[in-house]
Amino acid sequence: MKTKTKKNLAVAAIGALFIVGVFAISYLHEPKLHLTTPEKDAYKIGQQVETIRTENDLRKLEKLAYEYELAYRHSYNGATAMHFKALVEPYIIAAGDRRDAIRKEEERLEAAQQEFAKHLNDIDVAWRMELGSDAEVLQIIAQKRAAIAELEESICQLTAHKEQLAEAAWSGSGGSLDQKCLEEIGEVEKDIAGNIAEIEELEYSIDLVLLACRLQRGEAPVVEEPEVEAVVEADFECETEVEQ
Amino acid sequence: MKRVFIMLAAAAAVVGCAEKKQQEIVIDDQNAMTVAEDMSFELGYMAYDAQSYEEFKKVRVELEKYEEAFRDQIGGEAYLKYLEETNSILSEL
Repeated sequence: MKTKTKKNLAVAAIGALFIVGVFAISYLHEPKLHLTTPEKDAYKIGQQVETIRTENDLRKLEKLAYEYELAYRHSYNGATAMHFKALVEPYIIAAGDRRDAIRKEEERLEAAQQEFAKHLNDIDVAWRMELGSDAEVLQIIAQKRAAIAELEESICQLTAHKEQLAEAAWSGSGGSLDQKCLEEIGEVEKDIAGNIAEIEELEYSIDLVLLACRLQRGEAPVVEEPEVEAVVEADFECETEVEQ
Repeated sequence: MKRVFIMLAAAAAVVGCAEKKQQEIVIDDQNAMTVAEDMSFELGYMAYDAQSYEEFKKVRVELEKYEEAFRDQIGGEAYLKYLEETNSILSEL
């Protein structure tokens, strides 16, 4: 009898410990939010808007507002939770706007930093560039410009070819797009992008040569205006040609 | 002998730190915008008017030192002003 009582007590103690453990775990997992009134809690969140700097700050605030909403739903009812959500929403929008403004400022700063580094590097390269006579410089520039003109001509042809392929792709069997034509269009687009990149590189190298002349000799040689227009304009001309 | 070397090394480190401290640029945060405007103008045009590569290199070091100082000590609008004003002058080249 005595042994049986001990055994029962032990089972009861284990059971009690188990229940306490379960309660303790659920308590630890519950968000530790002290609810006051929807107005006061929404205002508390609103006060944190001014502290938003990073994307992470914004996510944390949104999460906090959501946790409050859940807590109101859990502790009161859906209507109170909706009331809280309506009160806090303008603050969350304001926090998002603040973050957007900061992001724009960060992008502007990054662009300025890159431009600063690029200017210094370009001037450094230009100062170290070995220049020939004015005639030689003009010849190099003329060669580069001829290469640009060729690339622009090539872009025109590729654009026309792309338009033809697009027409062929649409007029395929059963109104569905011809996969082979689409793949070919993708290849042509890559070629066009490659040519545009090459043109930009050539134009940049011409700018560097002219900068080197200005720095080292005080002035750049007079270069005749190129006959072919800029890439964008050439591209536009190509499109109008195709349309005609 | 060993102690003498340790003392000399310590003295060299102290002198080195002191020199480094002297070279650091400290920007007055109360007048950061004015400093940004003045320094970008002064150094930007020094780079613009440099008559040789050596001259440009010296100015470049100064430009970069101020860039670093504005970035690390001030940041925000004054730093942006320094960068944008300098960029504006250098792009005239």
